[in-house]
Amino acid sequence: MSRDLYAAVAGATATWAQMDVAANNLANVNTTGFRAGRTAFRLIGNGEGVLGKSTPQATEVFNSTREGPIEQDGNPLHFALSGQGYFSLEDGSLTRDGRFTLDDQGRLVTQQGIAVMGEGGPIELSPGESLNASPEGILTGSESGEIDRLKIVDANVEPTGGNRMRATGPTRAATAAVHQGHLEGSNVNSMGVMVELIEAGRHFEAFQKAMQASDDATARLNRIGGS
Amino acid sequence: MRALYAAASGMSVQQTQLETVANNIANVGTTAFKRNDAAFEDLFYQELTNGGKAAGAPGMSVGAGARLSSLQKDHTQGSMSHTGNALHVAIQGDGYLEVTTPDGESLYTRDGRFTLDADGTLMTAAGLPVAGNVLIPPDAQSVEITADGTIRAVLPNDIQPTVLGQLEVVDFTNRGGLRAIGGNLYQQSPQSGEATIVEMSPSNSLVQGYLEDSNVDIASELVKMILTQRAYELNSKVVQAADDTMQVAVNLRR
Repeated sequence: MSRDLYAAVAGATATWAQMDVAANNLANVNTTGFRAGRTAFRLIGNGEGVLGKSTPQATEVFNSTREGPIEQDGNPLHFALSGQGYFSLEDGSLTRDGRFTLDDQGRLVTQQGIAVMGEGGPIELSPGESLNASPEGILTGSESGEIDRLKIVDANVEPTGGNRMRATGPTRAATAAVHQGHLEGSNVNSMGVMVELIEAGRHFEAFQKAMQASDDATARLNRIGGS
Repeated sequence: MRALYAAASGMSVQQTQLETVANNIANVGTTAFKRNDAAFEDLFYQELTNGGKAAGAPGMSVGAGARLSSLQKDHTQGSMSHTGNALHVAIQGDGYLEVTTPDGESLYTRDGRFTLDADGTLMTAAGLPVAGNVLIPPDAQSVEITADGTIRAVLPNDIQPTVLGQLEVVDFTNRGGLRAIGGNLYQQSPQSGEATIVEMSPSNSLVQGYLEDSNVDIASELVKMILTQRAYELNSKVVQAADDTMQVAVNLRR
């Protein structure tokens, strides 16, 4: 079998993966703090980077760090970040989804029930008190006074589902500002994703044609020794 | 093919969003209705390949779509409407009024559209007595509910009003954790915490002759409806694109 057939198959498989990533982006067009993924391709094989000796593969998904639209909703327990950085959670994960609420003990938690971390541990409010946050993330309660400062860190991250991300490297100091009463929407650019889907569909067709051409060539080759 | 399932999950998420918006709009005229707010999260990620990636670069993790993460009530205050009815009361600020079911369970409401039964027991429009067993004799005159919840009325042959009962306002650590059971009623849940009595103050008081309106904002719900419909459409296009691609793959064999 010829090498060009396998190159076309690899290209089609990579395109398939690209469509999966695009579909996930569009499914999350309404997910708070969602970061769109972008597929990266690489030539793999003998003599990497040399055409004809290597095949394309989808190897990485980079998450866009572009900010999503920040919308005001007035809920004092909802926070948005502008600039680079993530909220730290008790389970060690990071998130951009500041749609927080309280649990039965008055702790500030995510919608999944994981405590939000301040510099000094989980943040706890006295019953019935109202919360005020400064742009630096300093939380002040109407009764307890200054409570803590939201722990906001920056890092290279990878998504793990449930609007949470895992740091893939060391954490850095963040420059993000906190906006109370706001939420950051998904940063998916739906028009860009639609274009990517159309493009991927056409690429897939091209790879199909390449496979058929390769097949035709092999068929012709087979006839040389025949009649 | 993951794209198909991811798009299907996206469509189902938008469907939930549309249902929430529809319910909010349907309740725009419901006394003390609190709008529902649906929140979504991304599903799990799958690592497709490990080979050939640059050191330190993220892996090829492909997400499986989206799902509903929570459906919470937004407990912010609605505006006040004047009704002039002496038995209507609205809560200015935080808290809930307690009512009792026939089997003795405590439920909570912000709907102060109260009325009297034949004996003069203060009860909700649905007939649940208000906690505290407030009895207002049918022949009592000028019923007054003060800002701190004291109920007074002038009884026949009296000149000075008599205190007939006390309305107590309670609140919860996590109002979002209250279970909405319909009929403008809420039930305590493990997530909400215990009911605690709220001290009445000028910023947190009862207002007689008023009812709290629904806190649904029609304009923002309609905008949400348009966005939801478009997002649904986008996801349906992905289903189509995935299907077209599969057809191309199927046509490989001539």
